Amino acid sequence: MIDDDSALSEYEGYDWESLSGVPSPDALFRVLSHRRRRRILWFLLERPETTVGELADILVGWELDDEDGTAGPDKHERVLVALHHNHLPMLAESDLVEYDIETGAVRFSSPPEPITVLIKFSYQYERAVAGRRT
Amino acid sequence: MASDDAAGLRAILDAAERRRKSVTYYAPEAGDLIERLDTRNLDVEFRAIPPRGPEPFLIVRAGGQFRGAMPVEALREHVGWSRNRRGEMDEHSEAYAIIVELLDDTVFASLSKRQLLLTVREFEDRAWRVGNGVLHTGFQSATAFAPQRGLYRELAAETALDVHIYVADGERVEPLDEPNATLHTEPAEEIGRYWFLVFDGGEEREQGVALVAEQRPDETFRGVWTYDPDLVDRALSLLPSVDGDR
Repeated sequence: MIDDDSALSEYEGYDWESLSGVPSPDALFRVLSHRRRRRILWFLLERPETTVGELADILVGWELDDEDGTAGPDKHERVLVALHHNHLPMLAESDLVEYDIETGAVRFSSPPEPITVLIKFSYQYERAVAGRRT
Repeated sequence: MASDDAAGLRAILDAAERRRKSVTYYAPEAGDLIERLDTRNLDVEFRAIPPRGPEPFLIVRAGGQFRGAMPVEALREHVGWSRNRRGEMDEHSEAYAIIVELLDDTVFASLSKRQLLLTVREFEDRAWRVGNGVLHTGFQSATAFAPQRGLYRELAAETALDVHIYVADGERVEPLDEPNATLHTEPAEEIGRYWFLVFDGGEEREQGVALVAEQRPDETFRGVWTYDPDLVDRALSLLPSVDGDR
């Protein structure tokens, strides 16, 4: 008879009992369902405090790699608007990120390891599967 | 009038300062790019980003407004700093426009006399190649002009350029024999403060260039040169004197 938990044994090191303040599964995977948010979260792992302006720069820069080109003011404005009205509010809603609408400050909540591992996995998976040129 | 003239040349330096762009350079490591951009009319700020993120890129702003983003590699290829072959860039592409805008004005924060002479020589060669149009060159003294006299005689003799030479400090300078070379010595005071060259591009407006350099107490120069046709026109309109000695 197979132990019910054997398929999950590689995660046994995590303290699954004491996860608190974490997003619901639906909220977590909704957050990770968009490339820009996957990139934002991966960036925040490395740089836990930033601003909406810097994130807009970073995303525009990142998308140069996807689109093999340059970006003008329209592109930057669209990214900024999407961050401000969509991505950052959703991330704030999930409690993974604090977003100060007044100052533009963005702060990562430093979630427990299962979530940071998932963020890294999502980013790596994207690079592998989306066929990043480098 | 005299002080307005000085303000005129000063205005070119000031206009370039106002158009100064700021560049945010995102990359895991700074490398040599900041040094490379040092003489350009840019304030470069480097921000480290984690490795395995985006490829190094530049964000360009002017007066706080976003102007464009480009991969560093595209810039390197355009200006020939890349180990890759110089990129064949479509002159009508957005990338080309952004890069040209980025590199349009050039300020040298500090330049030795030798570096300045080399730059001026490059622009004299440009006027020579075009062969027509109006070239204005201002020397800070008769002593500065003396070694260039032969070159300017030749420039006038060999081309259809309308050559105007301005020499400061009121020293007597022999006019040039060539009918298309005009010597101006009267607006002495202001000329002495600036070293300038303005070429209108003749029949090739895009070949126009304006350079204004100001000598500093430490014998170095601070100044700007630009290929921007509007700034070149502005420089032309601000030149100190139109009438020659004869």
